Amino acid sequence: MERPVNESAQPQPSQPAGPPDADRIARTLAGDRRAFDELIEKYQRQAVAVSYRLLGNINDALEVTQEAFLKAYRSLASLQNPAAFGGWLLRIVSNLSLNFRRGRKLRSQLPLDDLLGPQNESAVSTGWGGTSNDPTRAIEGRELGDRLKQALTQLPEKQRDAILLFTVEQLPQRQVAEILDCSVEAVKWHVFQGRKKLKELLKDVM
Amino acid sequence: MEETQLEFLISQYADGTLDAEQAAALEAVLRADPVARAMLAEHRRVNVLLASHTPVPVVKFERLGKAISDRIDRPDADQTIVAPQFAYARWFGAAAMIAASVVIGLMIFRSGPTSEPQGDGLVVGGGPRVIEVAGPSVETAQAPAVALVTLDAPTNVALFTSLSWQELSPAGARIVVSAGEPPLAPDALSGH
Repeated sequence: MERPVNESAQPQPSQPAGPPDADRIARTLAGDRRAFDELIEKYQRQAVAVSYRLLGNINDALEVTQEAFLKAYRSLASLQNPAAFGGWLLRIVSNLSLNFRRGRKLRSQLPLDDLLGPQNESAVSTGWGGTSNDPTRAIEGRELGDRLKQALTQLPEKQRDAILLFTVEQLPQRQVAEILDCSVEAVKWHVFQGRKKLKELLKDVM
Repeated sequence: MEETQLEFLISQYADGTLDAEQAAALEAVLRADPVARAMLAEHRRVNVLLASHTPVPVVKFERLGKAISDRIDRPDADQTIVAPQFAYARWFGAAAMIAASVVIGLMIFRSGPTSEPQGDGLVVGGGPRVIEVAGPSVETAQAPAVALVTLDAPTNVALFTSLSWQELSPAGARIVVSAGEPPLAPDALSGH
């Protein structure tokens, strides 16, 4: 069952300043579709990232992100606090992602061996290997990334989700707690335990 | 202080989530305890590793934004960006549901619950978007709660919708009815 969407959490969009979300929502509700396009542009990166962290597959994340924006658009009039649109949207993204993940588990018992997803060429050149032109460092970076990926798959689900959403995506702990349906203290504990386990699993490369 | 408790505080300190009073108390411990400082350094190293080695694959956000916007403007259109294999699976699943609905619908037509069909119909094949039905024709008929089949004469193209299909694509699907004429190409059937 989908959990109710709480509007309290605030996202941390790394987007250029513009009209406040409340203004965009008012314009959208008044019939200005371009206003919602501005919200799409502002939040789509973070929505994809959060979904990807929870699903580990970019194709699934793109599909869920689209559904989340559609759902948000159709439910916009029910949003009580327009200023909290970002947190509300990400909660929709998270709920849909977790539902998708549960459905995927029912369909297949295969492990999430693509937790961080197959990287496309651009990501390989700018992510795993950093911006260095040194091929040796690039290979080392890729190997380290693979090791980290493997280590993350060994964490319990809540620890992995907490680390990916809080440490990597830098969502507020309160928002992570809402997504994971636990307390803020539990999020802190999951992050701590997960990171402690990662330290052990990666001690030979740290 | 128990080691696990100390390391939990250090973990929160590394994340910047301790309040000022707790942070000040821990900093005093850190100044005096090299083991505690080593723990802090390890937690920070893991954080750096996570931040630098967990990229999100590159996405064409301009295209994604347009796809979302198009879907909002045209909710009947299937603009979802998915990997080809998933797209094929979706269409295949939809086709399977349509085929099942057609068979059920025809069974109901044969039993004559609501209207008399003019001819037999039988699903003989289909692709991701096309279901071919053999038989001279399928009359406009309605099978409540199962399917709605409307023959678009004289093209012999039937517009078919079902509850299951509508969940996947409100645009519905067209079914080619074989009636001595070649079926339309799938491309001609996919337009919205």
